[in-house]
Formats: sequence, structure tokens, C-alpha cells
Amino acid sequence: MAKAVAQSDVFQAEIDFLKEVRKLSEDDNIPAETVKENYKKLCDKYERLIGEAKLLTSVSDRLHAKLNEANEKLKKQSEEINKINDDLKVNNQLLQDTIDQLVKAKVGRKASSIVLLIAIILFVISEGLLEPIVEQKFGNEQVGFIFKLGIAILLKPIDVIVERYMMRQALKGKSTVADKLFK
Amino acid sequence: MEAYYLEATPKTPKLDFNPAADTFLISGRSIPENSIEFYKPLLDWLDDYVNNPKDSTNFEVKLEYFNTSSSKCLVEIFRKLEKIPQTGKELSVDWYFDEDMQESGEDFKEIIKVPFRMIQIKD
Repeated sequence: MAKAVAQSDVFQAEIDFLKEVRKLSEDDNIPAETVKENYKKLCDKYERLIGEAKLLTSVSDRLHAKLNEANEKLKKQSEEINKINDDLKVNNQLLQDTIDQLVKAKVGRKASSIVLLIAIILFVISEGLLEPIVEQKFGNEQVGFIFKLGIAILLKPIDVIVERYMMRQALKGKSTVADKLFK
Repeated sequence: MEAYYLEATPKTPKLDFNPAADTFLISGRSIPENSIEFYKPLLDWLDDYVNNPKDSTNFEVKLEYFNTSSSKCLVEIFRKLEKIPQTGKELSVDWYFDEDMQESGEDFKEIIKVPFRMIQIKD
């Protein structure tokens, strides 16, 4: 409402003149000469006002055209940004998958090394410590073979357990590529 | 008579109306929240000036952009300046334009009864 009042102030001179002419038109005792004079003034003001109305319409139309053009440009840019964002998301996912595979391969290699080490330690313990004791106690050489077979059978489950544990640790420690990008 | 000067802001133009100088200037952007409130002091100042203008007055308009209500206020400024030639003194208006302001200048030129020159701004 306040804005509407402020904008109407722009036409205050015209409003004042209209009030003045209205007042005169209600007066029945004005001489014909004065009526003619005021009528001429009114015509002049009206002509001016038409000119100004044309100018304001023209300026306003141009501003709207510019605004529309700017809006179109913004819309287009927004669409381009959305498309770039979508591409980024896809590329980010691809990158994330690749990183995950690399981590998995690295962890797999480490796990295999650890399992190999465990196998060697178990073999040494079996061969050097357990077998002589068991053979001495049971007098059966087949027991040593069963120990080695047990170690061989256990290698795969140990590998899986170690790999899973290491993978969990690796995933705990790293943030995603997206996190890093948008930090 | 004292000069009327206002520095430009992002929304209002620079107003440099110094009777001691040869040229009056309005430049920049004119998109005030309330145009009439912004231009009213200048219009009052011009009322005084046109009663006793210098022998020659040059008014330079170097506006980049203006809103609709500012254009009405510009019309009012020109209406005040129109009175200067009636006192026998000289008045000229220079409207500096780029591609955006050319049509606006031509619109003003059509309705204002003062010598109105259109000057293209070179890059």
C-alpha cells in the first residue's frame, strides 16, 4: 500500500491539476473566456500526458524485455549447471567405484601376505614343536600330516576373515570422493 | 546559488548540478526504491535555478539504466529545464547512449522541447 502511494506521488502534479480543473468545472459562474482558457490548458496537459504515457510504456516494455531476456539466460544457465551436476555425480560414482576396487585389491594383497606369514608360522610351529610331541605321544606319523592338512584347510577362512577385517578398517579411515569434493 | 551534488550509489545516479560549472551531469544507474523522494530535492533546486539560469546551460545525461518511475522523474527534470530557453538563455541536452540507452533517448527527444543531442558512447 505504501509503495502504491509513493508511486502515485510521481504523478502528483497531474493529480493536482486534475483536482483544480474538476473544481472549476463545478463552478457555474466562470466566464466563458476563463472556461476556454482552462480547456486549452487541459488539452495541453492531456497532450503532454499522452507523450509521457507513451514514453513510460516504451521504457517499461524495454525493461520487461530485458528482464525476460535475463530470465531466459538464467534458466538456460541453470539447466546447464544441473546437467554438469548430473555428469559430476555420475563421474563421482565411477571414481568412487574405482577407488573402492583399488582399496579392495590393495587390502586383498596385504591380507594374502599376512595369511602367508600366518601359514609359515603355523607350519614352523607344527613341524618344529607340535609334530615331535604328538608323534612321541601317539607314535603315529599320520597325525603330523593331519595337522598340515588342517593348516591348509584353515588358510582360506583365515584369508577371508583377515581381508574383511582390513577392508572394514580401510573403509572406516577413508571419506568418499564426494565428501572431499564438496567439503 | 549553491551547487546540488549527490554521489552515485549502486541504485542511484550521481547528480552534479553546479551553476559555477558549465555542465550539469546525471550519470550511473537510477533504480531507487522511491524515485520521487530521491529526485524531489533536485526538482526543488531546479525550480530555483530556472528562475535565474546562467547564460548557457548544458545538461549531460549518462545513465546506464533506469526504472520506469525514474523515467517519469527525468521527464519532470526536462520539463523544468524547458523553462530556461523561455527566459532567453541557452540550454542544450546531451544524451550519451550505448546500445541499451539509445531508444530511451529517442523517446525522450520526441516529447521534450529542448535542443537534444544524442551522443554515442565509444568503447
